[in-house]
Amino acid sequence: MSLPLARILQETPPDKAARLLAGVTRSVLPDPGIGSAPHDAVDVGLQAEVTRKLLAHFRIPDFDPGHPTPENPRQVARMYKALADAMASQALPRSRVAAAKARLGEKGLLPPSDFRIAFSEQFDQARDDSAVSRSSALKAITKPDQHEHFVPQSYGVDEADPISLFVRFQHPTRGVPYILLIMCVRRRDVLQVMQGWRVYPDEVDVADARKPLDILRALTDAYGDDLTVGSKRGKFFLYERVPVDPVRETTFISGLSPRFLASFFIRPSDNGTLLEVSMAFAIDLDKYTAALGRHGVWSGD
Amino acid sequence: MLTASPPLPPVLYSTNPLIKLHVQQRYRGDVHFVWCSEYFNAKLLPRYEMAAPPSSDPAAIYRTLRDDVARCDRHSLKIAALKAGIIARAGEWERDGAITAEDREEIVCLAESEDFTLWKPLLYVIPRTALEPNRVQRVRPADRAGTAREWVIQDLRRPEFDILEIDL
Repeated sequence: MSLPLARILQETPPDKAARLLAGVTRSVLPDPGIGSAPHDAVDVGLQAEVTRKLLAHFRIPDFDPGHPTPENPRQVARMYKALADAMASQALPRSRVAAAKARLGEKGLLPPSDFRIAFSEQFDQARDDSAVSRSSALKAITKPDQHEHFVPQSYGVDEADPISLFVRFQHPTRGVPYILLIMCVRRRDVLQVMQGWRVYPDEVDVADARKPLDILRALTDAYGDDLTVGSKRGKFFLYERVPVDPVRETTFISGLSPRFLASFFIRPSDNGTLLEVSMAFAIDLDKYTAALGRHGVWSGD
Repeated sequence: MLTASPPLPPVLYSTNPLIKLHVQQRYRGDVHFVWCSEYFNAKLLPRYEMAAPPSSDPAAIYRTLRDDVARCDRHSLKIAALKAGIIARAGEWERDGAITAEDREEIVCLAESEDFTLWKPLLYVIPRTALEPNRVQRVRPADRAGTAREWVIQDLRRPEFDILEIDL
């Protein structure tokens, strides 16, 4: 960290230092372009003095904030980085980073590569049928072509599991291109990998798919079982509250084929009169593995 | 800083990093502050047009961010400036009472992430005709990067613009 900034952080009360650093940053940026004009009260003289020392420290003598001097962009970038680091060390102390990451993870705002990844037993048990390896799932999660984080609260389902989908387009040197679709549940900043599927566009109609969820829906249209969840029938359920018939015996799930791989995230609520469904679908494994076979992939590959 | 605007173009363009979209959607009530230009790509303009310099040309900003992200360039001037600006703003918003201390921490955590994809550029295409004229404020010459006209919209709502990712 540059000397003037280190001294500010050491010798100035935190609130005053924060205002001063923000003021200095504002004075050396062309325009942050991210928000309304600030109202921070700062000591203008002190701010000017710190700015002058900062520019001198980074050897940027004729700096014009409106037009960053193109001759020394690296020095200017170093100055911005020093300011960002100084402000960040105050605004987010190291002891608070893990908690902030956990909140971002649950909100679905954490970038894919910042999540920790854990494979569920369900994923490992299904690997032979799904023909999706841990390594390919890992790549799809950390370097996805598309991903989608679902926030249950935005569907009006507060207690449901936050689900994430990741998609990566695969172009094997031998065989037919396919889409790798990975489903995870977010637990703070951990992605628990639940399922992976190969989606072959020559069999599964993804022409209208714009998001990973559309691809999952297309997969369930092609190979999914019709399910009855509570009192509702369908192939795919996402963040729904489904009523349960209070007189008849409760049937959470029915209508499954003999060999299936299910994804049920369901909880009873309201004294058992409702089912809170995060996601529910079941893939008929005979249909799915037959599709793999048609593409030269056999269960256990 | 800003003056009222005379006749306006039908469409405005603005390049912004993904992180800014996240921040304004999640922490600013989906109200977006954008700095815009009437031309997407100043390079394609006739020579007699008042073209925006690279620092405020949406296509030039897009190319810079795209290339810096692709290279994971830790010395990127553009990313360093955006990062410092976002962190400074997060503190100011908190001191203004617009966001909580936890919100500020989360914004800083995002800005400090090692994941470069947060800085990938997005092109906002803004049909100006759908906006009330007084919401599109013309930037004073002294605050512009060059001679070309530039605008600021402080309260753009998400349904009022489209977002594109493009090959340039």
